[in-house]
Amino acid sequence: MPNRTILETRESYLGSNAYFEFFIAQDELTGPHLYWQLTSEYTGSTNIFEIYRSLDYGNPDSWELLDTVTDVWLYHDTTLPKGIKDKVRIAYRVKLVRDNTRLESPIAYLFPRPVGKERILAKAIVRKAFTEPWSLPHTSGKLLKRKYKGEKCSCVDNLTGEVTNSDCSICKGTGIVAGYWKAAAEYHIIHRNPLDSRPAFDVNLFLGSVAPSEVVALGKAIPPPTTYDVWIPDNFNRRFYIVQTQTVAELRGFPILTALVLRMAEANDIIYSIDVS
Amino acid sequence: MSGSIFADNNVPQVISTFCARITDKGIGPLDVTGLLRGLLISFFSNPDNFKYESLKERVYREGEDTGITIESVGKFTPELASKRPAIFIRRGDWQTYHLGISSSKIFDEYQNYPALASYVHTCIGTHNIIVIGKTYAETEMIAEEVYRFLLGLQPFLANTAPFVSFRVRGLSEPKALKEGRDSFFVTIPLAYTISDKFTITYRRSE
Repeated sequence: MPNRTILETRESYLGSNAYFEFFIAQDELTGPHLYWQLTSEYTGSTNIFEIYRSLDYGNPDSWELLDTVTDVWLYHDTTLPKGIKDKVRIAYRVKLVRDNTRLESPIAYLFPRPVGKERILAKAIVRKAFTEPWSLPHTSGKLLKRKYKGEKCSCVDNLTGEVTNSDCSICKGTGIVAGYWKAAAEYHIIHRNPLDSRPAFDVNLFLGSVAPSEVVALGKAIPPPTTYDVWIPDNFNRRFYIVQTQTVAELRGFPILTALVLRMAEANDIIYSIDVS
Repeated sequence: MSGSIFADNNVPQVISTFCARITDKGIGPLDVTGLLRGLLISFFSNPDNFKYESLKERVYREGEDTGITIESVGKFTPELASKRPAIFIRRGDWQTYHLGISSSKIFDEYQNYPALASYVHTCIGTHNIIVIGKTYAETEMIAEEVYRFLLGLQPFLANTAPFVSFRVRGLSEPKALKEGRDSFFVTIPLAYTISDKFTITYRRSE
């Protein structure tokens, strides 16, 4: 049986190794969700992942191949047998297929840690955040992960490596072909100010007509949102760039809540061309 | 730099429209703003003018589907709010210079008869072209296109439009803007000299 004691560092909590920045398994209402991010060194132009599950604490003989997916950063396990009472025994692992070799992620347990009082404390922190008066306006949505490594787009300047077409249909203004990882994670935010925006005139006579929309929000730390990821509300036809993230609650280095600053993409932005349905 | 500075040859038409407008009343700040907007629209209406291949989609068109916004910074255009990239034209300071003697008098054949004297009004005016883009490199490229286009126009404007001189003073360093995914802007300051000759006419009351 693998060692399931509480680990001391954030890296260990988030399942980090030489190939994966993080690998997390989380039990959600609709079933277990896995999230991962490759390190820059191992992010290729096409990334094939094999998803493995163990129902026996990750013992070597217990792994079964669930699925093979390409260029995604999350996986929703819909095949978990119902009626498993002891969910602590469920473990996941992802393998990056690269040149006929398999680069393994660390093992992620569905209920690894925190345990006991810490788990209660983490729940209390989330509950408090979601029940404060200012947290009433919350909106469901999806999180789109931006690519930072991969095949370079033809719009990248060959001398400086910078993106020369912000509305490039190939890289969506990121400089990396496709621009964003496939699939979008469910991600709800609590926002302090309205999501909507109205055109205004820049009285400083600098920006012309503007539609200012900076939204200060709070969200869960898992899946981890990072700068320039995109948040898409479910019932509001606008898209938002996440421009600032900060962990505001953590437990022994394990992030629980993230403060976010989001800005609405202008109506003609290329980000609206991505289909997340 | 070589080649034509205006492939579609609209620039002379923009300048003649400008000249027709100022013939009777003289040059005002709004006239120069309008001239610059017309010149930039003329340039960005034809992708063959662009030196950078990646800017080919940044063609100016009337309406919301324009590839680039080109407006006076004082105009409220809600349908184009926050649309980037954008080029805004903003007037800077105008400073009057007194030439000649005795209230800018330059010709006075019959002394002590102001009605027969000629005067000159000389002014050094400034405008700023503000280029805003959604990526650093794109902003730099658009700013360079504008900069080179206006540089090429310097001698042409001094000869065909009523400017004593027209100078592109440079290209500012790029700075970040907190809008959208983070935008960037570059300013291109312009300076020009205009000169109006006038006489004083007395009207006898009936």
